[in-house]
Amino acid sequence: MDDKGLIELFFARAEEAIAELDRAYGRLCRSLSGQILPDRRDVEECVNDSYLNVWNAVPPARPNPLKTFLCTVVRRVSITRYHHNTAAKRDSQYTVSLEELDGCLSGPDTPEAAVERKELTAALEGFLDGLTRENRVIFLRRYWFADSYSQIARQVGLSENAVSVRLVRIRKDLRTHLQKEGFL
Amino acid sequence: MKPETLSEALGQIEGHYINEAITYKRSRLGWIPWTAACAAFFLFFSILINHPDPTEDPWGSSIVATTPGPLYDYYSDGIPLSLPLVTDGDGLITESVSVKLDVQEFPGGFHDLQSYLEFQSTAVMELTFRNPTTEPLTVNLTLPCGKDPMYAFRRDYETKQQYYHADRDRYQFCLDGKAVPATFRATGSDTLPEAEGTWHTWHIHENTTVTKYTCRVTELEDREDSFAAIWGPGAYSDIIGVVERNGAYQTINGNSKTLLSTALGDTLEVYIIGDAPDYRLGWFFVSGSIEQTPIRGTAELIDTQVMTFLEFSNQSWQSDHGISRSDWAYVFAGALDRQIFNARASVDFSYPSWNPFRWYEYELTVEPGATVVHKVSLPLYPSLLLGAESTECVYTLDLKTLERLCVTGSQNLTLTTPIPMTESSAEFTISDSQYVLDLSGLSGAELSFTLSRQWSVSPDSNYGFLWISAALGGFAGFLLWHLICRRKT
Repeated sequence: MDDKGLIELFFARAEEAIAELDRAYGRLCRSLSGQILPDRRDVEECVNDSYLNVWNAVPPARPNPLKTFLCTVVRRVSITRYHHNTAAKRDSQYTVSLEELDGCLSGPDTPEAAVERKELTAALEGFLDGLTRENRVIFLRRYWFADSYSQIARQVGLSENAVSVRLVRIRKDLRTHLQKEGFL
Repeated sequence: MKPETLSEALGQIEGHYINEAITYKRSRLGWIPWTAACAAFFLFFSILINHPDPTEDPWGSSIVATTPGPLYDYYSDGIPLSLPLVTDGDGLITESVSVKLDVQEFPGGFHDLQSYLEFQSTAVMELTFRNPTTEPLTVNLTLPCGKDPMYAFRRDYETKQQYYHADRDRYQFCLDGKAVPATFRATGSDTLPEAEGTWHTWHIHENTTVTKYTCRVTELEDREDSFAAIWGPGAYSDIIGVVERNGAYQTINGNSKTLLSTALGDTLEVYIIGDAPDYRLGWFFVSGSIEQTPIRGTAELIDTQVMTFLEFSNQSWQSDHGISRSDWAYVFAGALDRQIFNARASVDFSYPSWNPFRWYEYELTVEPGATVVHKVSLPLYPSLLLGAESTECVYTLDLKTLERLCVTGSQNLTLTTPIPMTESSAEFTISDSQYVLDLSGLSGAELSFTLSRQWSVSPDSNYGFLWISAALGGFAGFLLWHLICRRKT
């Protein structure tokens, strides 16, 4: 079933909407959540909770594309669960990817963090626009989807080492960009 | 700046970046070598899976793979099998324990009630008790049943009926052939409760005060996507707010807020669980669930009602659940607790993403000097990987209670199944087409074994031609891989 059909099911409050959503995107959701959470039971609960979030949001929302919206929800729910579950253990790809980002950041949190976050998002979008398509995908697969190097390498057709080198360069560019924008 | 801050900001980026990252396909290599490589690999692999495994199967014939592995892994917990636990009373001697497992079919996702109830894997546990005293002895026992497995049938989409224990008739308790009445219990926590009233992190009990505030939307700016919003009772760490809409419950605690799609004239209800005399009810209105632009609106308080948590939870209780009203309060509290833990999801009893933990309580009386056989029959649900083709299932037997039974005589487990056992945590022996295990020495442990339908008995055949094809296919694959690597460098 395509996104349009799924959205119509949600608008009709049809019970099979969740089952159809799972059939269409269940594997993607579990994979994304599984990169953040090491426990399969947590993954299962987060994916189910994400479906409920979609159920509550649609209607009135009519997300397009639905897949992107769903991924955003799964990531948010999984990260929330992650922060409950872990005390900075290196037990998931997400932890490792956060640690990598730590290397290109410095400075304490400020009280205006919430306000700054919106500006930071805009700065990140500016940074992403400046990257090549391939580098943009590599960066997002690593730090948005928390994919491993080998998974990224498979997707973009590079060796793991090449992906690693690319990410080092991208992080260096990101640091420069954030400094220029006044965030560091 | 913390990496979490950057990660959160990254989480807010526009959807087209995410879409690009999802849909991006590599285009560095031409399709010809890959197509050829896939063909070679397919040839090699298809031959490989048809090759007989050199290991002997338990029945003495060579075994071969007959079905492919799952297309994706979707792990689903089953129910660990537990022996009855004596919770009150002592003096009885447990002379022997016999556990008989009968697994005649492989479980799958049960999409209707009939297929779920017809699943015929069963366990029969027989415990022989002796009363050595000159007085009748009465003991209380508990049989933990765990949670319904996630793959169990739980909801009828036609009637919207919810089942929390649809297979209840399959749990049977007997003493010397006579049925023993047992009380079904349930809780919202993950394990058998240690004590009543201490099952939840925020210490709700049946008599906790719940205040219901009902408001009506009397003024609202005309927008298509209007939401009523409310903040949680932030000043009180133990006080939880719950908003109900169409049978779904959204908790608000601490400094969180929630949004409800609303229109002029709608009724808004919020329940405050716990004593919060200074709680200030404050609905406000926004447009858009994401941008949340403030809009003009007023909600007037039309009713305030004080009730107990038991009364509150009873609003969602259904007699068909099979769960008592009192237990439902704890199931409900557990669900809310879980929802707070999960942050934003709501508790929707019409589509729950969780199951209550279940157990039975019953009583046995043994006359002076008598030896009796206590028999428990129940369904057996393994953990399994659900996918397009699930091939393995794992059965778990919790032997902690065996330790507490202090068995003086034999303690055996027998498994009857046509499905081959491919792994086990203890060494079974095979006798008369049955797997047999002596449980003595295993008390306190967790026993698990895997049955796999990926493997089945097949007669030997001439695989010479296939071996040559496999070798050629592999060689072609190697050459192509080498070619691809050269192109990459």
